[in-house]
Amino acid sequence: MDFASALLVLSIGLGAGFAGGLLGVGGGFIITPALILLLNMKPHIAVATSLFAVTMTSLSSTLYYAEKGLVDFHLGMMLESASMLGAILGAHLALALPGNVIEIAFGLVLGYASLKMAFSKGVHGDGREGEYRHVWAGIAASFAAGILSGLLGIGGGTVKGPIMMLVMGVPVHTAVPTSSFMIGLTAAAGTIVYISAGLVEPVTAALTAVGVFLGAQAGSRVAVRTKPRMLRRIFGVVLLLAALRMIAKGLGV
Amino acid sequence: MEGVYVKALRACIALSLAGLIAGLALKQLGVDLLHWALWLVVASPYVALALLPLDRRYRRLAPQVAVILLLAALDLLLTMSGV
Repeated sequence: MDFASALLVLSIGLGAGFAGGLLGVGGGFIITPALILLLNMKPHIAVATSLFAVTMTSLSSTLYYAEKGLVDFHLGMMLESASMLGAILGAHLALALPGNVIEIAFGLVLGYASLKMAFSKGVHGDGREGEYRHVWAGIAASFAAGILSGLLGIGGGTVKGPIMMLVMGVPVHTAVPTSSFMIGLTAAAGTIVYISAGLVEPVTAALTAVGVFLGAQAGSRVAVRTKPRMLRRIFGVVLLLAALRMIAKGLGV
Repeated sequence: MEGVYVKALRACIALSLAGLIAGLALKQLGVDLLHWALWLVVASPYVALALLPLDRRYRRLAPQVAVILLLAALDLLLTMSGV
């Protein structure tokens, strides 16, 4: 890899980490389209690289939440067994699918996430600590989130968080840290499949992961001092454009 | 009081970052160990989790931890053996 490409990959990681830390989203939704659209990387390699970087982001945010004792390990592991199985299945599914199908699927999921980011007023669980309802629905949704994670190289927090809050009634201050804890295990399970298949390019993955880690540290510090509502809207529109571009690329337009 | 999990996670993150940066630097010198640094990152969430039951507060979660680790081990074994 030449110096300019290495710098671009590091910048993508830094940008994804910063935006993720600032806006409370995972880096996967930024890294995968950036690698495909800016570096013309093959979808499978972009997904694998993104999933690897998401593992690193999750480790960092989980450390922050675990230090504050906010992770519900019992809930997280109950849902994570299903999520890990989904991620392994999703990664194997991705290996069997052509690249353009992954691009279209990614575009559709990113489109949903970007609209949610731009227009959602946020959701909050109405339950109490340690009391959860519809556990089986939560497990099924975690399995689906795992499939999306392995298939598209995202953390799946966009699905896990709202399901925990809306379906299971988990309070937001527990759902977000627990989802973050789960994401690392899910992403690592999917990454194992991609590394074994030789799809994780070591230099790209390492540069992205280091960038994401540093960017996320800076982003979360800035987030404390800013009101990101307008930023979320602007960023949502940018991601929507990226989603449309991914779908167009997948369709060969 | 800081738990075993937090200490383990912090150590894993430091080791992973150091591994990635050292791997990148060594690659410039023609020594390719970066592949192993990637495995450090992937192993980190499981290593930290494996130590969770050592904390008295989370001892009852040992069976759940075992299930997660078993799934990860199966994932590794099956993909490595080409299934």
